[in-house]
Amino acid sequence: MKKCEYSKFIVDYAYRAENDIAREFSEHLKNCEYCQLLWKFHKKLQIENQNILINQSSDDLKERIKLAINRRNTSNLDFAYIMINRHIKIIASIVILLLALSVVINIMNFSKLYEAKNIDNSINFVDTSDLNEQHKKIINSEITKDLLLEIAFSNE
Amino acid sequence: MNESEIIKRVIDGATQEFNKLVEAHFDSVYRVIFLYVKNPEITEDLTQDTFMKAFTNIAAFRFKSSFKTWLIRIAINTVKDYFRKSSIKNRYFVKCELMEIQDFRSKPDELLESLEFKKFLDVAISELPEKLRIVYILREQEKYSYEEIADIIKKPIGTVESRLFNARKIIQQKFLKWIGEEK
Repeated sequence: MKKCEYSKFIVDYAYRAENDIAREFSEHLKNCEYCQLLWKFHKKLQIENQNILINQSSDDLKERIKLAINRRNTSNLDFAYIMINRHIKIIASIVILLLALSVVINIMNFSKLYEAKNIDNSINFVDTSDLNEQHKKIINSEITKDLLLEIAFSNE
Repeated sequence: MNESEIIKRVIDGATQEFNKLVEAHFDSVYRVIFLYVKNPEITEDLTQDTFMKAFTNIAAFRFKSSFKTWLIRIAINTVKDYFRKSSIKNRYFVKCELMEIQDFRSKPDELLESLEFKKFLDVAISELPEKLRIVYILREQEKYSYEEIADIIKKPIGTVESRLFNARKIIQQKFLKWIGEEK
């Protein structure tokens, strides 16, 4: 069988309506064995595609799908899962927000502690000459930092 | 009650109504998946997955396309996910030894009517590149319109047309090779 140059147009021609085919090609088709074969091939292809048979156990499967959906409707766990799935972004945003808030609170607490530590250090330079005897006694004894801070900020 | 009303009722909580949608679209979904994977057991699993996904996400349906188009899109994505997750390198389940066809060369009509030709077609279609295969299956075997296919694969109509043309051309080339007209 001799390869034909016209065959490059065969795909286009084969899928058009019969009356759309150019007369020139129509004439050629009658005489060219190669194009005839391809023409018949595409026409057969179209028929075969329409005749596809599938062995499907559709009724049985349809029932199983319906049952699965009904189970989903009645199962609280599944429902919770669906709801969580649907609201996962909102839940994640709230968790992230709470985490961020706790980080901010921790930073604020830390800065307060840092401030207190600085005050604690500066107390060593407090002039004790004006303090009464009781206070001097306390200062000279082993005192806790908390007590020292309390004294430093008291108005007495 | 039309389909849109059924969908709205399902979204509003009348989930039993979803069975009507399963009934109406089961065959289309099953056929498209089967034509894609060519294996009844896998088709059953993926069909069930498709409907479960549609049921779970029905609130996301925006009524911009037809429900069938939306469902077929889910089916195709389910098939793609399946192939991706199962890491199947060879996606083509149809494997058969093609018979020697030398005897038919002088009788093209007999060749086109033979069982071997049907087997050849099965293999040729299943070996098409994925992008071309889905367009070919939707158009030639399921008779979807170009607009519907464009909607399903989310590409312009021009892309659908060119993919369809290329698919037909590839099958033609395989045919010529099969009958020994081209190397």
